[in-house]
Amino acid sequence: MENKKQFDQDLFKRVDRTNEQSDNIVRESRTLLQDAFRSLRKNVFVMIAAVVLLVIVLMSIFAPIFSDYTTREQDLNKSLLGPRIPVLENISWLGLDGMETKTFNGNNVETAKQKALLQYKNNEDFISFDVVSEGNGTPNSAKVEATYDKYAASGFENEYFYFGTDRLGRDLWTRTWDGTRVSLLIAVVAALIDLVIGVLYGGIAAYYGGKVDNMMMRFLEIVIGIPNLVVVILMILILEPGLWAIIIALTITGWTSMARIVRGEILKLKGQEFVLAARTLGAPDKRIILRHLIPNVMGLIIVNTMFSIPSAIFFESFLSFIGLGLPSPAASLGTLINDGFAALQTTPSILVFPAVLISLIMIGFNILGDGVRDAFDPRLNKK
Amino acid sequence: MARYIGQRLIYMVITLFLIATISFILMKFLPGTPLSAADKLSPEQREIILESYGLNDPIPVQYGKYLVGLVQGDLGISFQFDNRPVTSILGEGIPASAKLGIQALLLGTILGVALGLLSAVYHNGFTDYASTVIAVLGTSIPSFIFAGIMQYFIAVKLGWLPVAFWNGFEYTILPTIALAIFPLATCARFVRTEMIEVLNQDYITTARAKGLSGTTVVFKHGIRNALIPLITVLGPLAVSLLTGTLVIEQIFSVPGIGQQFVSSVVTNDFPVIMGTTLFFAVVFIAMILIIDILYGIIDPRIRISGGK
Repeated sequence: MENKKQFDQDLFKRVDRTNEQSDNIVRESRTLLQDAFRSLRKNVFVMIAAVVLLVIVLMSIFAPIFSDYTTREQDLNKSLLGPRIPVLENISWLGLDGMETKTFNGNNVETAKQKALLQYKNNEDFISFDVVSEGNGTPNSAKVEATYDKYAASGFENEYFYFGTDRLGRDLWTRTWDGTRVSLLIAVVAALIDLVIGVLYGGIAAYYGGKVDNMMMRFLEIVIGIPNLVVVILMILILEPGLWAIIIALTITGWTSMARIVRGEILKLKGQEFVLAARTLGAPDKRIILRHLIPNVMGLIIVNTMFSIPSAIFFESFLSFIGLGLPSPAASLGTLINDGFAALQTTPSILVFPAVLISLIMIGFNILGDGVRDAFDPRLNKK
Repeated sequence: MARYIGQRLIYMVITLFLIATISFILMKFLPGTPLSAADKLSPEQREIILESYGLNDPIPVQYGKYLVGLVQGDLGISFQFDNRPVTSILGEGIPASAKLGIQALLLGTILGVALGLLSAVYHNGFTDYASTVIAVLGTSIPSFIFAGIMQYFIAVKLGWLPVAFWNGFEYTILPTIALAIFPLATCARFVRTEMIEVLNQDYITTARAKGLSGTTVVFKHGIRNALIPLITVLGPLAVSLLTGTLVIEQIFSVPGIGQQFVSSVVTNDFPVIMGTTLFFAVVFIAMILIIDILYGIIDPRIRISGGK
C-alpha cells in the first residue's frame, strides 16, 4: 500500500447536476424493431444468410432479363448440353466446361473405345480418350474414360449455357432463375395472405372474447384437424393449375398457426393496464387493436412469417413433384427439380442447380428465422 | 382424463365427417370425368358405364350412398384398376408405406435423440457444433434432394445399393435414410435444447453435489426429464413422414399408398383419391390423439392440470 499515488486536489472539478438535468433524455429511445435490428446485425450467420438470400432474389429478378435466351425457346439440337461458363470453363475439375465425361468398360481398350464412339455418334474428332486400366483380357476389365465435346460437336462453340440445357434444349440458367422468382413469389404472397388472415382472425377472436372467441376457436380446431396435405391436394385438383391455385391451396390451411399465436398473445396483453388506460381515455376498438395490441405482437408475427416462407417453398416444390404444380412450360424450382430427377441417371447436372438453390433458400430463411426469433425474444434482449 | 378423451373423440368424428363431405363435394366439382380418356364411346355405352358406377344418381343420393358405405368400411370401387374395391388397393399399398414410415421414424428418433443428448452433454464442443450444422441442414433441405443425392452417388455411381423398387431389405435402406433425415434433425435440435435446460436445473446440481458420477447424473436424472416433451414433436413428425412418403415413394418406385395416390390423381380415379385422402386424415388425427393422451399419461403435471 506504499505506492498509493497522491493526486492534486486541483485536478478535480465538481460537476453540478441538478434534478432537471438528470431527467433529460440524452439519446433517442430505441423501439423494439430497432433493438431487434441491432442484435441481428451482430449475428454473423444471420448476416451471411441475409446476403445470400438478397443475392438470390436479385439474381432471380435480373438474370432472366439480361439473359440471351428465353425460358421457352426450344431447340432440339441443343438438347442436354452440359453447363459451360466462360473463364470457369478453363478450370477442368469444376465441370463447367460443357464437356461430357463417361467411363466405358470393355474386354480390351479397343472395344471400350468402340462403345464410346457408338454412344457419341462416331464423332471421333470431338472425343478424347483417357485409358484408366489396360485390362487383362477378362470381360469388361479395361476401362476408358471418354471426354466428349458436345458443344463443338453440335456446332455451338460460341454459345454458353451457364447451367446447361434441358431435354428440349431450353437454357437452364434462365429457367432456373425464373423458376426461383416464381417459387419465391408464391411463398411470399402465401405468407403475406396467411399473415393478414391469421392476425385478423386471431386478433378478433381474442379481443372480443367470450362467445365470439369460443365459436371462432371451435371452427379453428376443426380446420387444424384437417391435414394440410389433404386440403392442399384437393384444392389444387379443383382449381385450374397455376400460380394462384398453389397460393390459395397454401393459404387455406396456412393461416391457422398465425391465428393461434396472435390469439394467445393478445389474450395475454388485453388484460394489461395500458389497454385499460387506452379504453378509459375513450379509444375505439379499432384504435386499441391497431395501435396498442398489434404492435406488441409484431415480433411474433414477423418470426412466424419468416418460418412460413420456407415451408411454403417446400410445399410448392413438393406439389410440383407429385405432378400438381405449375403446368409446363412455366418453371418453378419444384418443376425444375422434377425434370432433373427424370434425367438423374444420364445428366445429373440438370438437378444440381435447382437443388442447390432451393437448399440455399431454405437454409437461408431458417437461419434468418432463428436469428429474428432470438432478436425479438425479450428474455435474451435484456442484458 | 376420460372426459378429455371422450371430447377429443367427438371432435375426431366431426372432423372426419367434414373431411369426407368436403372431399366428396370437391370431387364433384373436379374438371374432367373418369371417362374423358375414352372419347370414342357411344352415348349408350357411356350411359351404361355411368349407371354401373352410380354416377347417374342425383348428387344427394350419391352422397348418402357414399356415407353409408364409409360407415361400413366400404370406400367404393376404383375406376382405374379393373373394378377393384378401393380398400383392397389401399390394403396393398399400406404394408410398404407403413414399413418405410416406421423404419424412418425409428431410425430418425433414435439417432436424433442420441445426437441431441451428445451435443447437450458436450455443450459448445465439437459434437455440439457438428450436430447443430446437421440439424440446420436436415430441417432445411427437402427430403427429395437428399434422396436424389443418395440415389445418384450411392446407387448409380457406386452401385452399393439398388436404385429403386421394392424387393427386400436392401431396397428399403436408401428411402428410409432419405425419409429419416428430417425427424433426425428435428429430434436432435429439440432434445439438445431440452437437455441443456434440464442440466441447468437445481436437482442436477444436487445430484452432482451428492457425488454421483457424471454418467449417473446424465442417464438417471437428465435424460428421463429431457425426453418427456419429445412426445409432443413425434406427432407432427409422423405427419411430416406421411407427406414425405408421397415423394420418396415416387423417387424410389416404392409400391406404397403414396405412389398409388399420385397415379390416381393423374387418372382422375375419384374413389381412390377420396379413399386415400380419408385414410391419411384418419391416420393423422389418430396419431395426434394418441400422442396427446400418451403425454397426459407420462407427465403427471399435464394429467393434473389437463383435466380442467
